[in-house]
Amino acid sequence: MPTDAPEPFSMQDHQTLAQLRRGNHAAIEQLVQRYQDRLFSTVFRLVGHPDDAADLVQETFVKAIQNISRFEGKSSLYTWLFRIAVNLSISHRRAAVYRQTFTLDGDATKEENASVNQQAASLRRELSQTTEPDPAETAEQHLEHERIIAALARLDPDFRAVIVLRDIEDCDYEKIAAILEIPVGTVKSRLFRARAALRELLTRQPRQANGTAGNHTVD
Amino acid sequence: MNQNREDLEARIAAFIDGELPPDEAARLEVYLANTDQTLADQVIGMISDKYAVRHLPKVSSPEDLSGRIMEAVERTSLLHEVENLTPPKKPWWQTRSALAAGLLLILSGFTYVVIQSTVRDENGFHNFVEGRNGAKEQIARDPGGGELLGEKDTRKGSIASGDLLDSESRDGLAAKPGGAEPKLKSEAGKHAGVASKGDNLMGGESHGAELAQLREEVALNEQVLRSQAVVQEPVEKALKNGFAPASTPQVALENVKAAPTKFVSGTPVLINLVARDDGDPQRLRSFLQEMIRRDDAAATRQVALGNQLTLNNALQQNAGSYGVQRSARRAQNPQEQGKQIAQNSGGALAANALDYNLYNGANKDFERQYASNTTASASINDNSGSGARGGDQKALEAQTGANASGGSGNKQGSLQNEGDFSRNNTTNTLNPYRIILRADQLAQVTTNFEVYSITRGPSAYVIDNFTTRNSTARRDRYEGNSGANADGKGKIIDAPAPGTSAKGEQARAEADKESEKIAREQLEGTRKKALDTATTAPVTVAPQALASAPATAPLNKVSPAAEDVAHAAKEQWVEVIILMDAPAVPAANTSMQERGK
Repeated sequence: MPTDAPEPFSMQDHQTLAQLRRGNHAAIEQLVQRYQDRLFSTVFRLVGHPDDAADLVQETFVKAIQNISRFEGKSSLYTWLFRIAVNLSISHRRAAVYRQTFTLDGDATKEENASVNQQAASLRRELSQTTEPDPAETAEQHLEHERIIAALARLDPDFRAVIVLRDIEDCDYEKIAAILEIPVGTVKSRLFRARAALRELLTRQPRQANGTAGNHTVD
Repeated sequence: MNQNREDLEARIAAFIDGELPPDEAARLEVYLANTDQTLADQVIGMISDKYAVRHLPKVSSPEDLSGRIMEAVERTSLLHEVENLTPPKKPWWQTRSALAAGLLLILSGFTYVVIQSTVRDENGFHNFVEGRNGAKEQIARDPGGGELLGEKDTRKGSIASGDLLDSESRDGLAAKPGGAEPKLKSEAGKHAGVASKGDNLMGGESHGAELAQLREEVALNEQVLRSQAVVQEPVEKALKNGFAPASTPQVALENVKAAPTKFVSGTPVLINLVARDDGDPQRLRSFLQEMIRRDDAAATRQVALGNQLTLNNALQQNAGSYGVQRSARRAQNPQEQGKQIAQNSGGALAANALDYNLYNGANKDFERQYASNTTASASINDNSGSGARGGDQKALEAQTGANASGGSGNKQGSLQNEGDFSRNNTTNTLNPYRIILRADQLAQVTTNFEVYSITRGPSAYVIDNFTTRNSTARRDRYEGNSGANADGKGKIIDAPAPGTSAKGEQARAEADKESEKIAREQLEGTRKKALDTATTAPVTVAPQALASAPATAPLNKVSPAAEDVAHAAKEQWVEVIILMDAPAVPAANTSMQERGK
């Protein structure tokens, strides 16, 4: 069963929902402004590519507006939006894995590595724009981040989703359960297994004191 | 075991997240440290990883993301609105194809019904046609058969029906009793497509089973018709369609007065019989067919029915019954025929001449024209070889004394036949059936159908008071006619026909005047006798009463009279135009007879 304790539907959500149902353009814009960054961050951690993340966030809002009449208010708008976004991201990831698995040229491992490297490269570009100007420390952090991001990229989408929602988005168990539409107990156990899988990946991917992430491959 | 494992995993996850209560966290730490060191080390690594993941750098959304999102949302909304504007998909039975199929089905059914009824009609003609063909063969075997055909006779077949001859042809004959050669004005276009229908009409065979079935239907119809209540006469509509009375009540009065003198014993009598058959022409048609079919003297007594087979076929009957073929055969050319016709006060010879011509090769053309002659009246502008065709008109008019008097009154528009048929064929408001019957056959019609009037000619020369039974007045009237044509003093007294030309109007007016004058003279001796001998009703009415009758004087209901039958034994053929499907007459016009009284 989905959730043990649904997130309460706030008064603000009520007003926004009413305006959205009337097709209020300002309400839509307000909704976008309020949640787009958090959604983008989450989706980016889930899919590992900014362009894909932007597309998925855009699709998330479109779907939300299209189906606003179906929203019953059993959870918050934020939870509802995240559920849509996570589901889209998981589907996207699975589709990407599917495409990689059945690529005719090259083995799956190389394809997978290529995907990871692509995500790492995206992260590097991202980090290069946001990091502080402390070269030594920044370089080490960058390597650590690349290692973690690469490990996350190799996780199963379901495991990845719970880790991102819990450890990055700091969602509580109930909200995670609501977003993923699974019981809270399942969230906990799945979170443990996801962390164990991440631990294993990080263990098998030792830190490198030197070298760039661009040359690093996870194997 | 699995449940314990899941519980442990859940507790470890909560422990890592700091969600576990302190006492449980302490117990879990003790447990992990004492039981599974590897798991304990893994949990420590998980805690480390958790913080590493949490401290991943935050990423901001692209600057244009909100714009992209809003653009996408608006685009999608517009598309959604367009989709909403699209009408919902109709159920299959509301689609155009379903509607078309339904219409097609309905039309098919209607067509089937029409075809079935048509086939039945044509079957009804089979016996008639068979007898007619027999008559043809008989005439064709006659060695003198071709004598009547002059060089212009080759075109006779192109005439649709003799009764539809235009006024010019009639006038031509009337004015040129010696044998005028009216011009042919063929309207071939109006006869297009005749052959097939004509073949159907003429080429059938008698079917015993069909005949029996038809007889049953006729018997049933007769029963139904007998049981039907008398309906008011359809005067107004009939009058509007050309069966107008005399132009004025005065003329009508004079017509009535003159009536006894206009009938010649032994000649055909043209009578308009306005009947009603509940708008179902098939009943009357079937009745007439069956009645004629029952006649023992089949071959020469076949009677034409319907618009397509009207006067021409009827004239064949005349030819057969009057036995004037020989005189017609002696005609060497149309002029000679015309002479004969003009000299034939009874007009039967003229009819016979036409009939003979029909039998001598023109039949097929006639048949084609019959078949296509839905606009029969308009088709006859062809007066070539008109000695015969003009003659048939003269035959019809002979009883009025026109021929005998040199046809002075028989000018344009004297007959409205073509006009009548034209109207009926274009408007279908009335269903005229022009046939030639013996008077006893006419009596059968009047017995089995409600007959509202019997008038002389299309100009509705009213002969009312036919409600009288056992009246000797009618007999006297008929007998009184015998002298009119015989002495050549008969005169056309028709009222002007609606729609006729000014010339025709003038001629008719002149004819009326002359005929009135002659009629009055003749009536001096005959009307008084007729009036005196009337037992239950007068033949004519008081002049003053008739003089006050409106122009739209109603045609009175006619019941079969014994005199009809008696007269029929002596008289022979009566051309009858039966109008059906006419409206009820207004109450104010119900009784001319009453006014007469």
